[in-house]
Order: sequence, then C-alpha cells, then structure tokens
Amino acid sequence: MEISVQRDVDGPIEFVDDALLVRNEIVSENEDERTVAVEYSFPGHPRIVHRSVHVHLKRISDEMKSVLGAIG
Amino acid sequence: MANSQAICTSFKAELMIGNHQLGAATISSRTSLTAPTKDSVKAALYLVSATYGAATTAYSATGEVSGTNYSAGGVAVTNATDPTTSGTTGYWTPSASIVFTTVTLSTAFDAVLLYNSSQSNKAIGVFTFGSQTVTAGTFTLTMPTNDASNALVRIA
Repeated sequence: MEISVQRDVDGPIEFVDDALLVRNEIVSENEDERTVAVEYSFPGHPRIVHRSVHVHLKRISDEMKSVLGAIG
Repeated sequence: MANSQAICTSFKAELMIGNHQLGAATISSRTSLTAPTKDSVKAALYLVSATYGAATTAYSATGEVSGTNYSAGGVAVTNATDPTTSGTTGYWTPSASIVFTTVTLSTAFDAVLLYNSSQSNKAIGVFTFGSQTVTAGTFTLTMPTNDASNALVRIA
C-alpha cells in the first residue's frame, strides 16, 4: 500500500510503499471522543512524514447540553 | 484565551427568525419558499490559539488553519438527513464524516466551526476535540450518533 508522505516541512507530498516505513498508531479515548492517529516515519529517522487522524465525536459535552437546556 | 465548545448564541436567535434552513420544508406562509432547497453547511478548522465559541457569529479566516491542500473556508458538510425530533428535543447531525484529504496542518488545531455558507456564512456551532496536527494525511471527524442524546446540535 502506498502512503502519502512529506519528507520536508514545506516539501511536496509524494507516495511511498508502506513497507519502507515504520508505522505507529496512537489511540486515545475519553467519554467525549475516540481518536486514532496513524504515523509513519523512515527507519532510523525521527521525523514523522505522515500523520493521519480520525476523531470520532461520541457525544457533546455536558457544558453544551446545559447551554441548550437554557433555551428549552 | 482558547476555543470553547458552544452552540453559537447568534444561531439560537437566527433559528427563530428563519435564517437557517438545514432541511427542506414547505412553508405555506412564504410563497417564495414553497419549493425550498436546503442551505449549504461548511466546516472550517481553527488553531488552538484561536478564540471561537459562543460569541462567534460567522465564519472568519482569522485563526483558521492553513497548510498544504487546505482551502480557506474548509470543506462542504454532507447534510442528507433533515433535523428531526424525539420527545421534546430537536436535533440534527451531518449525515457523513467531515474529511480533509491529504493535508498538512503543522500548527496544532482543536476546533471545527460549522457554518451556513448559504446565509452569509452565519455560524452554527463550534465543536472542540483534542489538539491535533496532520502531516500529508487525512483528518477525519466522525459524527456522534444522530439521536436526542448524542446529536451534534440539540435543542431541548
């Protein structure tokens, strides 16, 4: 599978076979959202050349509910 | 200051005077609206350093993210499901995830503004999430369940 990467901060986006990259997945979750970030870097290089993020909003906070309740 | 999650106060009043039409409805008292079309909704992302919230009245480029493949103003929101009610609660949620494809957004962002691009970019709501950056990747914001307890916009 090809992954879009950006080797330099303002460089062009190019596509690289994922077999050449190191993949790291970070999952965080709380009562409001579940977030999965997928990062790729080249072996031996700390710079992240690809980072995609998927935020799943599970619900809107109680603060929002109370604001809406005030007009009910 | 920081972004804060809120249904925009202006939106509450604008609902009552019919500025927003998120679903198709025939209004017999307004002959020009007997065959209405839905307004278009857009979503724009804002930096952690921005100050959008309840006082926001309309889309602004101030504090908006910028980067590769991101266009000012954000992306169109899919709205295939009209607002509806359950019990005493009216609610509405975009019918698909909001997706920013193959973008680089290097400065941290934590908020999305939904606004009515058919009505002078009037603000609907600001929704916050954990601070993020994206590198040559896709940012996807999946909506909550569209029901009276979880929908994105609820008026009870």
